[in-house]
Amino acid sequence: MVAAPFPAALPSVVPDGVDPAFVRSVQLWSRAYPRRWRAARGGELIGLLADLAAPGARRLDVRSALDLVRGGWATRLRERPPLGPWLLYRLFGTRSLRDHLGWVADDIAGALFPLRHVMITALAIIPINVTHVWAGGISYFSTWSFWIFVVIALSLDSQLLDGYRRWRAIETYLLARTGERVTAGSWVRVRAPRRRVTARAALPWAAAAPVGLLVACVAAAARAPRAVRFEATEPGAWPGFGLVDGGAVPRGAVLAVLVLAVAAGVVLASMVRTRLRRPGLSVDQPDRELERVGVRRATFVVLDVALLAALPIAEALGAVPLGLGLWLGIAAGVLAPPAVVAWLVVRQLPGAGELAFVDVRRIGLVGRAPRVDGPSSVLTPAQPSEVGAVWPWPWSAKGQTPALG
Amino acid sequence: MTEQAYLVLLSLAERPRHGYGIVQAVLELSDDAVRLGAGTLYGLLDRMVAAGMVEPDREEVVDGRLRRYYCLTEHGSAAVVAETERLAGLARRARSALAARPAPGRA
Repeated sequence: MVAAPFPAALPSVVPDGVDPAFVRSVQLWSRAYPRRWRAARGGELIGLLADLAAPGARRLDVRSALDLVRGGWATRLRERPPLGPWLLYRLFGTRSLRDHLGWVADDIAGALFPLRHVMITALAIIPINVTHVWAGGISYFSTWSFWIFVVIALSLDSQLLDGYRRWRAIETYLLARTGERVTAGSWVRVRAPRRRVTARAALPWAAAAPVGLLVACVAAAARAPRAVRFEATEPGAWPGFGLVDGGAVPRGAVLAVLVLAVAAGVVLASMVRTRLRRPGLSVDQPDRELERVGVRRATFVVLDVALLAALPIAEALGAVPLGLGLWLGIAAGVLAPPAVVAWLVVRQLPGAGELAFVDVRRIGLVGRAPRVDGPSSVLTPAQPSEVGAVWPWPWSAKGQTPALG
Repeated sequence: MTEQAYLVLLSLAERPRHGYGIVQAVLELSDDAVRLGAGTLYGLLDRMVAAGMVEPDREEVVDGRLRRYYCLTEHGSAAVVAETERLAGLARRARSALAARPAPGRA
């Protein structure tokens, strides 16, 4: 599920002899129309407005623009779903708009969908806000933090979660379920290759993460002003001791533990090196598509490492006593050498370009040949030929363009 | 039926037309009184297609401009004939009403 789920609403073909600025102006004003209308009629609309406009016009005249806005909103009103089912859909997430799938698809594609989707929560804010203001507080809507929350809620979904909520909504409201009839506007599940990140693209990240964490943990061991210490509690009480702040740092012992962890990692690394150099690692993967790391995954790795590294950094600065970070250091110390070695080996190994990160992880850590991936599936709008058929489980046997029946 | 809707149906009676063709024909039929905007035209067409009076015919691309032609259905054809009869009857009755009025200044 990577491709953008919805097609562009308005084709941006510039007719001959028309200023591109004019087309942009039409695109702006025609946003009054529902997305599905623009997708179906947009090209025709641009053609007509170009014919009607004065030659060389750079923008839509006021009269035409107002006419578009009026016509667009009249279309939205005319094609709105009935109130009852709409309320059930909006507030309780029911599939009550099965007869208005085009409208639901537009709703999900809309920029504000992540906010509308949490409508019931949003509505709950209003009485809370009113009570709060009555009690003498300031309105939440006048605070920066509220609007920052709104912006985060909107950008999180499309930027970081890869449109996760939209995909979930398509799955819930638009996907024809087994035994249901496919109607115009239904989406269906089709077979697709499983996407995996290549080992060569992922391993630098997989190596840098534990190395970075190890460096932070060594710094914490060397610089932390104080550590947690065990203290006996009252006799008879379980477990008989507690952890308290403010112990002296046993620097030598802590550093020795980290050195031991790295030594264990080096042993593991030599094992990984031998395993990766065995011949015949490549397995034929007919249902796989290799891809790069991508901005989203890279962001997650950086955020995860930053979150984890915050602990040893806080320990080094004395904000928290040295303790838990040691365990993180042991884990990073054991993982860093094999990750670095795997990266160095795979970088030079002939034929390793076909390996995915999961393959290298399995070969290196488990010592077995890569698994053959089964196919994955993606959601896609139903083809016109599929409308009217009853959808089988879980997807048609015939792949991307399923024949039903 | 509004005047605009009647004029659009009338413009399609002769032959299928695309959006710009309809606007031009309506301008001519109304003696330059009705100049349809794109929003108004597509609102009318949408409602007529939904009512089964008009249907999309064919598409062509001229100078990079997509032109979709619309044509009258039998139902639309019957509707425009009925409306024309109604208007003709109205005009007839209007004429006789005007003919029967007393000459000015003699009331």
